[in-house]
Amino acid sequence: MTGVGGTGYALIALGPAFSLFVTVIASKPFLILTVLGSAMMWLVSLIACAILWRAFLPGAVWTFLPLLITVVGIQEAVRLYYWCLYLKVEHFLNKLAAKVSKPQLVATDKIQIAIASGLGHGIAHSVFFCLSLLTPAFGPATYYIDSCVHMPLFLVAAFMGLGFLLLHTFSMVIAFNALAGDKHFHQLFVPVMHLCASLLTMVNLLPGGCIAGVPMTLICAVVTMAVAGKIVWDKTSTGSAELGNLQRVHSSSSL
Amino acid sequence: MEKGILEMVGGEIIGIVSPVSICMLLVVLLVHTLTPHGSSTSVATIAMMIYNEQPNDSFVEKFKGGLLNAIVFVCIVMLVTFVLVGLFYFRFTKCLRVYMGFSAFTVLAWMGGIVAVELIQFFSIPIDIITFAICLVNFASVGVMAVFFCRMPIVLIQGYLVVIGMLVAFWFTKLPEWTTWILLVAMAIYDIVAVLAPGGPLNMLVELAIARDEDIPALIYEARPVLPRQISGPPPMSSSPTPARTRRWSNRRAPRNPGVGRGNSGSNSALDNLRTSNGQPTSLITEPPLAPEVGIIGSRLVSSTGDAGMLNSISTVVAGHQATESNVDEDTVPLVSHGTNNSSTAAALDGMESGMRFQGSDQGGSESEDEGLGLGVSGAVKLGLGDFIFYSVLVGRAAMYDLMTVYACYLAIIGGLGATLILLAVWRRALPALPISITLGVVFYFLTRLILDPFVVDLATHLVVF
Repeated sequence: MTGVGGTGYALIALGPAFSLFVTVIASKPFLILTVLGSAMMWLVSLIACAILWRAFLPGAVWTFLPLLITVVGIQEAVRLYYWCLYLKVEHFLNKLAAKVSKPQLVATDKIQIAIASGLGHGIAHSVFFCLSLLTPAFGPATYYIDSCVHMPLFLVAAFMGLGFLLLHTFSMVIAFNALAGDKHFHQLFVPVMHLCASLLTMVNLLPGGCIAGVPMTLICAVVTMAVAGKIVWDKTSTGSAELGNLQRVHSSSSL
Repeated sequence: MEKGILEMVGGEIIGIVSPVSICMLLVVLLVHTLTPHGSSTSVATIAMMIYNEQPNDSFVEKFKGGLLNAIVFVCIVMLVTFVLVGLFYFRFTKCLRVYMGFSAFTVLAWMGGIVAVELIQFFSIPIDIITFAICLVNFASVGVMAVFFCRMPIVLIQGYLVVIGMLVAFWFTKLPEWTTWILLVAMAIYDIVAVLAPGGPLNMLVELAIARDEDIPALIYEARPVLPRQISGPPPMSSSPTPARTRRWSNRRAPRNPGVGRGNSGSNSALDNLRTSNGQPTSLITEPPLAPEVGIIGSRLVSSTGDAGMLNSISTVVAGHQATESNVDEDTVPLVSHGTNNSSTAAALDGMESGMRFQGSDQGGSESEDEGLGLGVSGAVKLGLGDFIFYSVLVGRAAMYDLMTVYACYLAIIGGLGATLILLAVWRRALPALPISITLGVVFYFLTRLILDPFVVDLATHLVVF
C-alpha cells in the first residue's frame, strides 16, 4: 500500500531491532561485527535447512510438522556451535586485553555480546521471512491470503517477524548465561520455547488462525524477554555489589 | 571508567565495511528504481565485443558467449595493468595524473549525468537544463579535486570515491546476466593470479612501490583512521615534528601518479573506437594528501598504533609474541591486492587498484607523541575502488532478481571481506580482496535463488515461521 504502508510494515518488524542497534551496538565496533557474524551463521543454517527440505516443498500441509521440528533442532545445534565459537573469541579477547593492559571482559560486556549475537539471528530472521515479502507492499495494492482474511499478509508477517526477532535476541542472552553457568533449566528453556513458538505458528494454517497465532507468537516473545530480563537483573545487581566492593577496596588502598 | 576492550577492537574493519555497505546500498537502490529487470537496451561495451547476449539464445550459447566476453575483458584488463606497471616503472607521472583527472571528470560528469537524467525522468523532478548543467559541472569538478586530494574534509573525499564506485558499478550492471556472472568469476580468478603469482602485474606493481617507497597509483578508498576523541585534528605536516611514520606517509604520497592503465595513447584510441560510451577510468591516482589520514589508494591495512587495532591484535596474538602497548608492525610491506581495471569502454580500463594493503608503522616510542600531537594514525584501512565496484555489481545483479538474494549476497560479501582482512593480519602480505567475497557471493546467490527462495516464500506465505 504505497511507500507509507511498506515503510510502516518494515518498521513494525524491525523497529525495535533498529533502536536496540543504535543504543547498544552502534557505539562498539566489535558488537557490529558480532551482529554481522551471527546473521551470517543463521543464514548458513537456514540454507542447510532449505537444502534438506527443498525437495518436499511445496507439499502437503502436514509436512510442516516434521519440517519445523528438524529445522528448530538444526538451529539449536547451531546455537551450541556458536557458543563454542564464542568461548574461543572470549578467550582471545581476554588475552588481548591482558596484552594491552585493559580490563578483562565483565558481565555487562558478555551480556552485550549475547544481545548482539541474538540480534544478528533475529535481524536475519526478520529480513528473510518478512522484509523479503514486503517488496509488493510498496506498490499500490495489498494482499490477503486465504487462511487469514482479517489482516493483510504483510501485517501478519510483520508482527510474526517482530515476535521472532525478540525471541531470538533474548533467548541468546538466556542461552549464553545458562551455558556459562551450567543452569539446566534455562538451557532447556531456550530450545523448548523456540520449538513451542514455531509449532504455535502452525495455528496460522487453520482458517482464521492468524487471529490466535499472532498474539501467541508475541506472548512467547514477551515471556522470553521477561526471563532474560530477570537473568540480567540478577546478574547486574550482584555484579554491582561486587563492583562497589572493589571500588571501596581501591579507594582505601589508594589512601 | 576505563574503556573496555570491546570499544577498541574492530574499528578499522567497521571503517571499511561501512562505505562498502553504503556503496552497495546505493547501487541496489539505483538498480531497483531504474532497471529492476535488467537493462532493456543493450549497451555495447568492451565487455561485449565478442558476443552480444540475446534473451532467446540457448543455454550453451549464452554460456560460451559469456565466457568469451569474460576472457576478452580479463585480457584487456591484464594488458592495461601491464601498461600501468610500465608507466609507473618509467615514471611517467604527469601523463598519468592528467589521465586520472580526465577519468574522474568523465565518470562523474558523463556517467553521473546520465544516471541523474534517468532519475529526473523517473521521479519527474522539475529542473531546467541550465541549472542541471551548472550543478553537474560543479559536482564533477569538486570530485576531480577531491580525488587529487586538495585539502578538503575527508568525508567529502570518501563520499566522492563511493559515488565514483557506485556510478561505475551501476554501469556494469547493464551488462547481460550470463556475461556479468562469468565476468565476476573471471575477475576473481585474475585477481588471485595477478596478486599472488610472481609474474603477476599487481605483484610487480607492489614490489616496485615497496622498492621505491612510493604509493601505488590507483583509486583507493581509505577509511578514516580512528583518532582518539580528544584530538582535534592533525596539524599540518610541515609544522609538526612528524614522527617517523607520518613522515613516511607524506613521502610515500609524493606526487607520483601512477596512472593506472592505459596512458594517453590508449585513451585516444579508445575514444576513436568508442562504440559506446561507457566506461570509465576507475583508477585515479590519488595525490598524496597532506594530512596523514587522507589517502585513497587500494586497500591498505594500516596497523594500529596505541589502540589495539583488531588486525594488529590478531596478528600479535596469533604470532604469540609479546606485544607491548605501543606495539605496531615493524615493516611497511604494502599488501596491495589487486588493481582491477574496469571500464566497459575502450576508454579506460585503468587499473583501479583494488586490494588490501597492510602497512605497518614502526613508531614505538613516538606513539605517545603521536597521540599528543594528534597525529596518531590508528588502524586506517584502505580498500581499492575496484573491489567496491565488483562487490556492488554482484549485489546490483542480485537485486535484479529479488531482494532476498540481495541480503544473502550482502552477508556473503561482508563475510568474505572479514575473512580476507583476517587473512591479511595473519599472512602479512599483499592479498587479493576479490576472490573470497566473490566466490561466496556467487555461491550464495545461486543457492538463494534456486533453493532458499522457494523454501522461505512457501513457509512465509503460509505464515509458518521458525
